[in-house]
Parts: sequence; C-alpha cells; structure tokens
Amino acid sequence: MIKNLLNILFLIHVFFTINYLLPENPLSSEFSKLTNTYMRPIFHQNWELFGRNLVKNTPSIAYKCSLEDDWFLLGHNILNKHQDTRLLGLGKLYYLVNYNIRETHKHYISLNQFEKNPSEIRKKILNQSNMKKILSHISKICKKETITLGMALIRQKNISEIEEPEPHELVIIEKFENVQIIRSP
Amino acid sequence: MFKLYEARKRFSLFRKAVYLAEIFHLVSLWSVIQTILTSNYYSINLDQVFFEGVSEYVNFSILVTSLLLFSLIFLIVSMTRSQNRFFYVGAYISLTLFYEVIGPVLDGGNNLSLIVIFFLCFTNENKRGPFEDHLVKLVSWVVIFQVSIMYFTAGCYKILSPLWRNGTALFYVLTSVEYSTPLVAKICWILGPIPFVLPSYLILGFQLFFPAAIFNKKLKYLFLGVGTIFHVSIGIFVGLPTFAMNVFATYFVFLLTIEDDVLKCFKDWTCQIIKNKFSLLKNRI
Repeated sequence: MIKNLLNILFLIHVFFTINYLLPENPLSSEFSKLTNTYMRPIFHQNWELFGRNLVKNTPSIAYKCSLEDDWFLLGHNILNKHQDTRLLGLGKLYYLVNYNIRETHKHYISLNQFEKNPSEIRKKILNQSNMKKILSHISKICKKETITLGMALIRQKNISEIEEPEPHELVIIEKFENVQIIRSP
Repeated sequence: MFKLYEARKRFSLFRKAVYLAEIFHLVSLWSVIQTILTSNYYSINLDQVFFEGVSEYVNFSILVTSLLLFSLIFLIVSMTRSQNRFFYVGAYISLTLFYEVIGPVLDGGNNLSLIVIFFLCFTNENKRGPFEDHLVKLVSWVVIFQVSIMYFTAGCYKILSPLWRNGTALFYVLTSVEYSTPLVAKICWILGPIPFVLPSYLILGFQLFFPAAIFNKKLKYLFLGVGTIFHVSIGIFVGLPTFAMNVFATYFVFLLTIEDDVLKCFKDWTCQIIKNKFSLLKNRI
C-alpha cells in the first residue's frame, strides 16, 4: 500500500517537474500556480541558462589614474587571476565585482531612452549610488582624488571580422575626465 | 566487472560520489569566501551584495564560515562512516542555509546536487528490508529522471536560440571574456568557426537524446562516455570545474542496471493493478 503511494508521489513529481522546466506551453500555463507552489522552495531549478543567447557585449568600466596612462579595466586583475587558476572559482568573484558595473550600465541605457540632454545624463550617472561606489573603488586603487574613467564595452567580434588577430576590442561609450571624488565623512 | 557489485553497493558508491563532489565545491568556495572576507580591495561592494537584511543582526563572516564548516563536517561524516540518516539530513539543511546566504556566488551545479542530496535523505542503503529496497530504487529513479530532464530542457532552450541553431555558439563561448582563457580564445580565433560546428550539433544531439538513450544497455554507456568528455572539457576550457564535478557525480546512479532492477518494480506494480482489476471484473461477471 505504502509502496503504491510512493510510486504515485513519484509520478506526481515527474509531472510537476516537466511542467515547471519545459519551455512555455499550454499545459504548463494551465497548471502554473500549482506547479509553482509545489516546486518553489525545494525543487526550484533553472536550466534555461544553458541555452540562452550569448552576451556579445560585456559591460565594464575603464579608468586612468592620470591622463597620460593607458586604459585599465576595473577588476582586470581578478579576471587575469581567474584565467590563470581555474580551480579557485574566482570567476564567480569577478561576476560579483561586476555587479555595480552592470547596474550602472542598465541605468545608463534606461537614461538614454528618456533623456535627450547629454550633460544631464552625465550628471545623473555620476550621482547614482552604484557609480559612487565604483568611483571610491577606483580612487582607492589610484590613491588619488581626481580620476578619469569611461563607461566601456568589451565587444566580442563577429566571425565576419575574422581577419584581425584579436577576438575582443574595448569600446568606450562615455568618457568622464577629471572627476572629483567627494568622500562622505 | 559491474556484475560483481550489488545494487546496494553501487548506490552507496553514487552517494559517496555526490557528497565528494559537494565537498570539492565547498573547498573551492572556501578560497573565494576567504578572499571576499579578508581582502580590503574586494570588500568595497561585495558586502553590499551579500548583506541585505542580514548584516544588522549577525556577523556575516562568522555566519558564513560556521555554516560552511558545519556542512563540510556533515558531508564528510556521511560520506565516510555513517549509517545514520541524521547526518544526511544535517548535511542537506546546513547546505541549503549556506547557499541561501551566499546566493550570487553559485553556478548551476549546486542546484542539481542540492536536489539530489534532498532525495538521498530518504534512503539508507545500509538497512535491509523490502521497503528500504523499494526506496532505494525509487530515489535512483528520481535522480535518473532529474538528470535526464535537465539535459532535455537545456537541449530544448539551445534549439530555440539562433546561435545554437546555426552552429556558431560553441565558437562564441570559447572566445568570450568570462568563460574562456586568452590562449584558448586566440587559438579558436585562428582556427575559425568551422571546426566547432559539428561539436556544437553533437552537444545538441547528446542533450536531446539523453533521456531516451539511457534505457538501452549499450547506448547508455556510450552516452555516459560522451557526457564525461563533455563535462571534463567544460571543467577545463569553460572554467566551471565545480559544476562539471557536480553533474559528473550523478552519473554513478546510471551504473545501477535500471533495465533489470528499477524498471522491474514498476512492471510488477502495474501488473498487479491490472491483475486486480481483471479479477474484480471476473468476479462481477
């Protein structure tokens, strides 16, 4: 008796998991509330991330400590360390460091949709909370109060541009020169 | 060679593999967390990501390290010398709490292994009896279903995305900033996209046909071999070693001869139901 009950439970689990995981279809939308209540805390899983479209433009922030220097990428040393030693899982750390960068890029894109005046956009971005953290981060690295930085994209080239030797290029969308950093007390 | 093992021994091998992979994952996380907690350079924005709501009440570093240590101890004990369900449940609970706290540092592998560890709490292959045997079979079925549905959904979403359909996705993965090394990216760029077209379709085929292939005795081992190569190369070239380990550990459940053992219990069950119904019908007639 208990064995049969367990078997039925297994079949129910199979049904709900299939409903929860497969791409949207009429069946899953019919039972969506039930499946969510069954799956959410314990059996929650998301395998869509293995098949989504790849991001070809990775947002990043480039900075200069003085105007004559080359561009440096924020978090580049973690990325290099990650690429040297794969087993330490530093890629996750890089992902975390990029958190503020991604947020500011989202903010920048949404600002560009609604705001027409470029100087207003620059002001609003420099006053954003995530951007302020980035600024203090860079000023700590450079040990300076005035820095130059730029919103950048690491663009992955298409196959049609295959003659060039480098697979990536740095595109700087917006430049901020000599930004003064006001430390909060 | 495989016939020497009983089903129970193979199941305990599977259990040990899953726990070992999780221990490997935790050890790799340990180094990441230590760099987050100790170094001033990284801690500028990381605590803000982690802390939301927790920081006011608990010291974050003590919480994280104690949870990690607890789950490590539970996992090691239940892997090596425990015949007690208490340790399995403890390992599951401490792991869920730990993952809840450090959410954004995780990849997909921990998700799979947490579900598997949840189901492993219900069984104890060291105990004997018809009910325990049934539980072992059912749990191995659940894990088999879980792994195959994972591959199938991944294949479905891959087929829906245009880059995988035209066979260039593998090339773009191997030349991307976050998932590749500069050396591998440059070699791929020199080779061009042509050598990566067939392998990317091979991955699609592997993932979509996996649930069907494991029911065939010969095809099963072929698919497991291909999957092993697939995951080893993910671990090396794409930079997700812990994810690869976690998925590979679940492959040990396929060493249970599902064609003989596990399918039989369902056959018996359905046969019983049909027989009972027929006998009822006969009585009525």
